This record gives sequence, C-alpha cells and structure tokens, in this order.
Amino acid sequence: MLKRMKIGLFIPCYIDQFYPQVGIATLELLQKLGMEVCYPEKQTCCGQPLANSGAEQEAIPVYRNFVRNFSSFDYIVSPSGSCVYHVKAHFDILEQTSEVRKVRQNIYELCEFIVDILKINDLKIEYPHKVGVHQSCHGLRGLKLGKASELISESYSKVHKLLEKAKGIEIISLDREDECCGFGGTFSVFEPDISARMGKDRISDHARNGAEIITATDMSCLMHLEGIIRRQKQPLKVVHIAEILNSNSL
Amino acid sequence: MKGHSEKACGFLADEKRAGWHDQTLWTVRLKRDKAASSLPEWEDLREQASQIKEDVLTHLADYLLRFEQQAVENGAEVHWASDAAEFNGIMLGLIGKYKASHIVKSKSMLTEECGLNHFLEEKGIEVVDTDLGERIIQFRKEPPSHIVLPAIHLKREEIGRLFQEKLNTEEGNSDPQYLTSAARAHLREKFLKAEIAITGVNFAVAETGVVVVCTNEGNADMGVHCAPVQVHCMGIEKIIPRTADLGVFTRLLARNATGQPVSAYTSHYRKPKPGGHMHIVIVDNGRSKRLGDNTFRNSLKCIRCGACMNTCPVYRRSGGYSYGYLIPGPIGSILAPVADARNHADLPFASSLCMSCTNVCPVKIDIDHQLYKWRQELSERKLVSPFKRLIMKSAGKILASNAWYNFSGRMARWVVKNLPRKLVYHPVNVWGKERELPAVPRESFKEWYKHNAQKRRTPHEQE
Amino acid sequence: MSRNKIIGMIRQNAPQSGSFSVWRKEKTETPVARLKEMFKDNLTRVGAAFSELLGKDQLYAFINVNYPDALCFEREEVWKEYQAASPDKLDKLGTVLLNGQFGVAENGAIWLDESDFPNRLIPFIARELIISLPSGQIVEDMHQAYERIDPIGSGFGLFISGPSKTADIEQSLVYGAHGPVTLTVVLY
Repeated sequence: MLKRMKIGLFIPCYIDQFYPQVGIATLELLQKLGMEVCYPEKQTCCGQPLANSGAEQEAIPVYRNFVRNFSSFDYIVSPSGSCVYHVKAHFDILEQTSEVRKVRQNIYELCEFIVDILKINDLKIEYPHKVGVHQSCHGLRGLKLGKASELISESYSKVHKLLEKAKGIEIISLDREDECCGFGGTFSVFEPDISARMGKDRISDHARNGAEIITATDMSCLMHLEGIIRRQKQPLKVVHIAEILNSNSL
Repeated sequence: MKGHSEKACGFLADEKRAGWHDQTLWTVRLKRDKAASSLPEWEDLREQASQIKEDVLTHLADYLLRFEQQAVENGAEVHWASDAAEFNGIMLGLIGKYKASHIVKSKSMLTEECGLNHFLEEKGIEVVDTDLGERIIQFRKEPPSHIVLPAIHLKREEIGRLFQEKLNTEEGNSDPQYLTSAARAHLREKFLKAEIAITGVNFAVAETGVVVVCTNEGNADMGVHCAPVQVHCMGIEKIIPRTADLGVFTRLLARNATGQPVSAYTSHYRKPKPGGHMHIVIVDNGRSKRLGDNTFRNSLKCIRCGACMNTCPVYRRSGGYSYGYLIPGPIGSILAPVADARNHADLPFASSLCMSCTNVCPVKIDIDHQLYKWRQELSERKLVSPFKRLIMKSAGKILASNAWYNFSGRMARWVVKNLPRKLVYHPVNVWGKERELPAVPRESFKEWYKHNAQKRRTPHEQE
Repeated sequence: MSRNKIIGMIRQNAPQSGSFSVWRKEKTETPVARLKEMFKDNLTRVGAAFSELLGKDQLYAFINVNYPDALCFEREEVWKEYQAASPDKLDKLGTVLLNGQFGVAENGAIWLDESDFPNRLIPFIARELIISLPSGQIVEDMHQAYERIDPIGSGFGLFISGPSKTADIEQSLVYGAHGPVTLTVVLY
C-alpha cells in the first residue's frame, strides 16, 4: 500500500487562465494514483516570464510567494517542464533557507513524478491516435526528461515511456525529434518572425510524418503551435500530456 | 541600429532561401552527431576538454610564460598586444621590418576581431585571405557569416558570377569542382609570391612552445612554408598545457565542427624553417578582464568549432549577418555584449534558451546560462528598452500578488473574448501577426477549483 | 610594457585554484589486423586511396610500375636538390612519394615530420601525394599518437588525413583545394 503522499499542485499561470482542463486532468490523474493533492489557492506564477526577460530581481517577490505557498509539501507537481526547471535552476538567487531548498529539491514535472517517484510506467490508457511528441526544451534538456539528440549516450524518454503502452497509439517519428518550437516565452514577441517560422517548421514536421495530435509536457509550446495551426487552418490538434495520461481507465 | 529581430525578419522574407540555409546547417549538425556517436567516450572527452580549459584559465599566466620561454628557445620571436590597436601596430611593424608587400592569411577570427585587413588596406597594404570561403567573402567585401563556414550563406551560382568577375571563369559555370580549381590556381600564384604568411592558432602548447593549426585546404601550410616569414596570431586563451592534451582536442574539434574524424592537416609549428623567421603574437583585447568575471569567464574556453551555430534553430533561420557581430550565433551572443553591451544588448535575447548549444559545446561552456545571466546584467545596466523594463516592473507587482494576478487574468480573458477581432489583432499585438490567440475558457482553473471544492472526488487507496 | 601588463591582469583575475580531474582513455589492446581494417575504412572516408603490399621490398617495384613519374627523396643528391629549392621550383612537383612514420586508425591520419621530406612545402605543393606506411605501425587513436610523438624531436611535424579538401561552396565536397589533389597510401 502506497503511503499517501501530500502533493502540492502547481498550475502555471497560462494554464490557470487559458487551459484549465490541463490543470483539471493533472489533479484527477494524481488523485487516481492515490495522492492527496492540495492546490494552494494563493499561488500565482513561478516568475519565469520576468526572469527570462532580464527582470530576475523583480521576480524575487514572485519567487517568495511561490515558496510560501509550497514549502509545506512532500512533493510539488506541475504539468509544466519549463516552470519546474525554472524553480530548480533559477531560484538559486534566493537566500537558500531550508524552505527554499526543500521546494527546489522536491518539485517535479508530472511525467517525471510518475516515472521516477511513483515508479509507474503503465497507466492503462487507450489512445488510438497518431501522436507526435514535441519534446519541450526545458523539460528535455533542463530536467533531462529524455536524452537530447545531440548528446551521445543511451536513449531514453520518460514521456515516451508513459505513452508507448497506450492501447492503439501510434507514436510517429519526426525528422527533427527535438528541435525547439520557438515559443521561448517573451522570445515569441521579441523575435516574432523567427518564433513563428520555428513553430511552422515544427508543425510541418508533424504533419509530414502523419501526426493527428501533437502532445508535450508544456502547454506554452502547445499554445504557440496551436496558435499557428488555427491561423493556418491545419487539421492537427494539440493535447497536453496530462490529458492523454488522464484518459485512462484506472 | 537595426537589431537581430529586424534583420532576421529580412532574412526570413525569402522563405525558400531561409529554408535552404536552415537545412544546410542542420545537415552539418547531423554529420556532427554521426561522427560524435562513433566515439562511445564522447561525453568523457567533453568533460576532459572542459577540465583542461579550467586548468588553463586558473594557471593562465604561468602557462603563457612557459609557452613564451619554449617558443623563444625554439627560435621564434614572441610579441604581446594589449588591444586591437597594438596588435595592428605590431603587424604593421613586422610588414615594415621585412619590407613585405605580398601577404597571405589563413583563417583567423582574431584578425577579424582586430580589424586587421581593414587597418592594413587603409595603409595601402593588401592581405590575401587564402581559405576559399574567406577569399570569396573578401572578394564580396563582406564579413564571414559563420566562423568555420564563412560563405555558407551563398549559393554556387552567386559564387560562379563572382569568380567570373574576379577570376575570369566561364559564364554560367557554377560547378563547385570547377570553381575550386580556379581558386586553387589563383591562390597558388599568391602563395608562390608570399613574403609574409599570417595564420591563426588552434592550440598553443605551453610545454613545448608549439603552435598547432588545423585546416582542410592546406592553405595555412602553403603560406607558412612558401613565405620566409610566418606570423601566428593568438588570443591568450588558446593555450593548452601539454602535448598529451592535444589528443583530447584533436579528437573533438573536427568531429564537432564538420563531422570529419580529423582535419586534413594538423600542423605543428615549432621552429622557423632554415633561413626563415617565426613570430607569435599573443593578444589580450579584453580577455584578461573577462577572466575575472565568475559568470562569463567560461566563454574563454571556446575552441571555435562553430557547432553551437549549427545546432541553433535561431541562427539557422536568421543567418550570421542578423547578429551584427563578427562572431554570430550562441557563442557570439555571449561575447558581443562583452565587447559592446549597448549596441549588442539585443543578442542575448535572440534565443529561445533551448539549451542545445550548451549540449554540443566540446568544452562545456554553459552558453544557455550565460545568455540568461546576460539578460539580467543588461537589464540592471538599463540597456534593455525602457518600455520592456516598465512592463517587467508592472508584471512583477502583478505576479507577486494573488489578488492582482487574479484580476489581471480575468481582464486578459475578457479582452480576448469580447473585443472585436480587428482590435485584438491590431499590429501592436505581435503574437497575433502569425498566430491565433488561445480560445478563452469559461472559467480559470482557480475558479473551477473553488466551485468544485465540495464536489472533488475523494482519492482512493492503491495497493 | 604590454607583456607585464597582460600577465599582471591575468594573475589578478584568474579564478582560484581548483582540482582538475584527469580522465585517461583506457588503453585497449586492439589486434593489429583490426587496427589496419579501421585505418583503411577511415582512409576511404577521408578521400584517400590505398594499396596493400606484402613487404617493403615490393614498394619500389610497385611505384615504378604504377607511378613511374613519382619523385622520391631517398637519394642524397635529390634530397639536397629539393632542400634548397624555391617555391617556384617546388610548384612543378607532380607525384611525390614520402614515407610515413605511423598511422592513426580512428581517423586515417599519418604522422610525418621534417625528417621525412627535404622541404616543408613538399607535402602540400605536390600535386599528387603517395605515402608509404608499415601496416604494423598503426596506433588506435590520437591519445596513443601523441604518446608516440617526440614533441621536441622536430621543428615541424604534421598529421595528414586524406587529400586537401574544401566544402566551402554550398557544402559540396571538393578534393584538391590548395594541397594535393589525391592521396594514396601504400601499406606494407
């Protein structure tokens, strides 16, 4: 019998505002897996949009709010690789109190939490679709959710591990398995043309190789890709990994 | 001054050509992957190279002095230049000393950095760049667009037309073999007449005073062994401690740069030729200052392989000229602000921080981390646009406060949902230029959670 | 004076001493036959041609038959003639035969130094280069190669891997940039 772990659920700001279904799917999945999930209601943001724009100092109060909300949990889980990476890597500018250290050490992206902490590979999903996996950069290279194609070592991918056992799924191969989608947060507005071109190229890769659905650990990437898909009126859908994993029969 | 973003927009306007540039460099990246994966110990080699360079930076003064001592014993003359002006002055002095008018040069980013060619041209002294790619851009009066593949942005037809004008090649003939033969003959004449040969330095070995230069064309050697005077130019950081360390670097460099197992020629210059003269010029030009910066010091480890450019999705789609600095791409974006923070404040932002560059760097420079830290530095120095700064300050206050955050979120959703499309997709909405904004949900997650608190499913036990 | 100024700045700014891990590749005892196979594969990869002979005694007969115009520098008077030759005279060199000291299996490179040719320009200015190499003298990788080289044994030494080449025009590979157009390795 699994000890009931007390999980703090962190829902990134843009998921909160524009894609609540991803948050709901994450909550439901964690509950199905036997977790006691709390959602601290005074949470706001991890501060990444500020810090990536150079305003790290302005982000400190945001960081402190985060730590205040989450330091009491055994684990903090979030359906966002980039936010989790940001907390792990860039909260180093805070004074490293025991709360800060606890938060940085125990925050996990959803897939890595399921694979590494819960040690579960098979979520008993049925998902008869052609799925392209977009390997969001911060999750892939920052959190090492998988082996980046430019590294020379044993291949692995926590996201693929959770998807491959899904009944009926066809995970398609891409021409460029882990090229950046071009969202990059404020990059998407400070370098809009490159950002759009990178997004279009990603979508072409998925479309060319037969994907019906593009999934990822980061809704930010998917929001950017979806924005282009809808403008171009392409017959592709984006679905966050949490929604796919939650479509299980547990 | 036009920043990266505007120039990139121009580059991307020719969609097909931008796609060609992107695919060409992606292919170089794939060749690199293939060559690197043939060595199971590849990641160990990277770590070792990084450690060797760490040792070099820690003991740089001692290694430089040892190198100088050995080189002088070997019969070379060693010069030191604090900055670009002094370097150019030394070069001019050597040209005067040997009364040389025929000067050839093989690839050296350092001479680009110091503006040597331009400096000498103003004094009526011609320097012929002998690397094929460099000669092509020299003819076009352009800077290199990539540090290893200087003419990567040009198509064969353009080079064909250029050679027709400059070398009298056949009209309409753009066969690379034919054009290369023409360049070979043209540059052979220059080599045979050369009085001074200038080269860069890939590695300077402290233990022995040896200068190592790697080329595929053999142009460095053609110059060095034809001309009575050879001059090797190096930044202070090109030192490596021991001959054995060359084993690590020669296994990494060509594989990472072009996917070859090694460059065609790895030449070790120790003594001048009988009757010849050998000079080595060691240049600081801001490097010793950078050595003192904990955050940005690692960029001094760079061995100029160019792999970071090949792997960078932004560089591939914007081209070297969009960066406006002699070294483009990821490494350029962390070096340029050192040289001129005000004019290159846009470069650390010309990145989506995908971190691929950090993973391919053979000496493990934490490029993505330095890009991130440069953003903070530039923001603190108020070199980031005031409009951007104001937005960040307000965003900071909003995101730190639950109440403000909730309110702004509701406002944002209301605006997107209710304002007419024309207003929402006004040109000021940069996102909306090529993308739709997300559809607006009925309620935010937070609102849903509040309403469903009582109706939440009770978690069930699991074995 | 700049030298002292630069050294002074460096000493002032250098990071604190740390400890540096030293990784040395485990020396593998790869059989000679396997090294030869790897070497030949890589010769082809880098654009060199090769021939195999049963012994060094066959070398000159082989050269006389297949490369009758090849120049070699065995005889002292030829050596002396080319030692003093001007670049213009050397420019006329067609096919040249040199003897390599050892090869490197992982990349098809061959080490030579200035004791192997009368003039440093010869390995580059010859139009076609032939290098003879004892096939028992092949090391596995560059670590082993650098252990073999006497770093202060010569005023100039080099690794040659394949003919001269460039891909500067649209990444299209062309042999014979400025150096030799072909490289043939004769293994014995």
